[in-house]
Amino acid sequence: MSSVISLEGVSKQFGSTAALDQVSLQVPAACVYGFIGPNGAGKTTAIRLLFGLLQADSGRVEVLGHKLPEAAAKVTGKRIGGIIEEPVFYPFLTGKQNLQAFAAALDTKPDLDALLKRVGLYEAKDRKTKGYSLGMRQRLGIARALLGDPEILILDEPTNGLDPEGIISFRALVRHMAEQEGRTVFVSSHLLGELEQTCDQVAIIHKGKIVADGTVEELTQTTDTVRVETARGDIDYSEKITQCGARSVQAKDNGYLCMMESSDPADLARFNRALVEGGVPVSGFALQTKNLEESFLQILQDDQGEQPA
Amino acid sequence: MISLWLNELRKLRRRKGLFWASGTIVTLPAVGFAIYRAVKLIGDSNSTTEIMEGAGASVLIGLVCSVLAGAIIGSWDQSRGTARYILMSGTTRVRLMIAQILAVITYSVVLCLYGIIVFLILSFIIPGSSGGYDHLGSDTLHALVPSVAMAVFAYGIGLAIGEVGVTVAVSLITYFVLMIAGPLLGSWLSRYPWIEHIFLPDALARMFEPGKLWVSLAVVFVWLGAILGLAWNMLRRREF
Repeated sequence: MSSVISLEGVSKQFGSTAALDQVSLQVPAACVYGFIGPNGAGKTTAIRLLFGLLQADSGRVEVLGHKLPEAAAKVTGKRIGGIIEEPVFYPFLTGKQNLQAFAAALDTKPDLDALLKRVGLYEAKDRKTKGYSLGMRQRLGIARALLGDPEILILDEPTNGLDPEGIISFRALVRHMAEQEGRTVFVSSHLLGELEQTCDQVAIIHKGKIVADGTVEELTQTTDTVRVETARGDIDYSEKITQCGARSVQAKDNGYLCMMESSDPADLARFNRALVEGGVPVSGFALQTKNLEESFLQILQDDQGEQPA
Repeated sequence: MISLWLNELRKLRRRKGLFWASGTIVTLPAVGFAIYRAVKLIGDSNSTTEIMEGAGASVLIGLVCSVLAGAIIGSWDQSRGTARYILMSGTTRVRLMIAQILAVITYSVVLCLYGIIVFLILSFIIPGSSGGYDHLGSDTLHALVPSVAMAVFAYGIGLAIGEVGVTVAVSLITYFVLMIAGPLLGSWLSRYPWIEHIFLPDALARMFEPGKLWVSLAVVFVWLGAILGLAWNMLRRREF
């Protein structure tokens, strides 16, 4: 799959603070790509670079094959749209007038009513945006991002302020844009459960560095813990399980959490066979999966541990 | 470019507070003038009132409103964060700046002409004879040029500062300080009589004196060029 967004060895410093430190990232076309990191990790800085609003101190930023910020005017607007931080508007204009104002800057005449319907704001189109809630402004921000019918949508914390119904419709909208319309959606968010359900791939940024990236499956299943359940809850099989190859065993909730040396399927099958042959009445055997939040916290902890004191 | 320029004007037009306030306060001197003229006519039915006698107040108010418009166009988008979204739409900084300067000039011209037209209408409505129509054209230019120049001046300062209130204060204070500083410096440095003419307010005031047009125009262009050059340099480097 070709990359539509490419960052190679990008660094950006604000005063003495390194906002990005040798960041490299490849975002394939027509996928939903999640960008995760704690506050101040460098997410927004990276996104500003993708719009050519900032100049990197070193490294290469390319979007759709164009080097940024030099070619920003060629790609932003009609080929990339987005929201950065807060979706701000002219408070003295209505929702529709705001879209008209930004469409004029884009030199395009899209069907504004259709866009407003798409984000669920058609009924409020003639209200001034100073009366809009944060959730409504987020929706209007998405409509503004779509004004130029872009191939890439870059959304910085787009679900901030959305109610549960809004989050569900946002998720459906993002999936639809990637799957049905072939757009690439690059989303940064701290709502990890949301990203887990929406994204195909994710990258985790911490203190300006990419500490992990891959598909959601890769990041959520890289666990080496197996849960073993036994038919006889009254007998302690901890020692036998250890003898069968577990690194450590912990009894928990009528079963055992077994830390393994490897999560390779062949090794797990061998372990399962050893348990049965060793006389452990196995009634359940499953590789423990972590959700994205647990993986994220684990990765951050590992990264903290590797930092020099 | 044209759509950007019209868009800036539409945004000003839709700021209802600014729009109606500007319109009203530019109209007020004309109303005051009409009352003054009516009272004068009661005392002496043959009295003549020069139309531009009263227009001066309207012109001064127009200048202040132009400064306000220049400050808003120059700084509002930066202070509120909408400038980032305009640039994210693929507009280059230079295109944006040119469109905004054109909008500032247009707004200022329309505002001044509106003030003068209101005076003219009232001079026809209120009975009695008026004078001063023969030099109406040059008087209009007297009103227009300082307003447009100060609007552009405020725009440049707004672009550099990025805060509406501060921009209005800095623009007006700078104008009045320069207005006072020119003659003061001229009297202190009497060996260099030209020195007071290099200040913007002086150049704007003397532009239509015989033989001063080109020198004054050059001084105005140098001042505005310097302010806009500084503003452009800051806009070009600014990270949004």
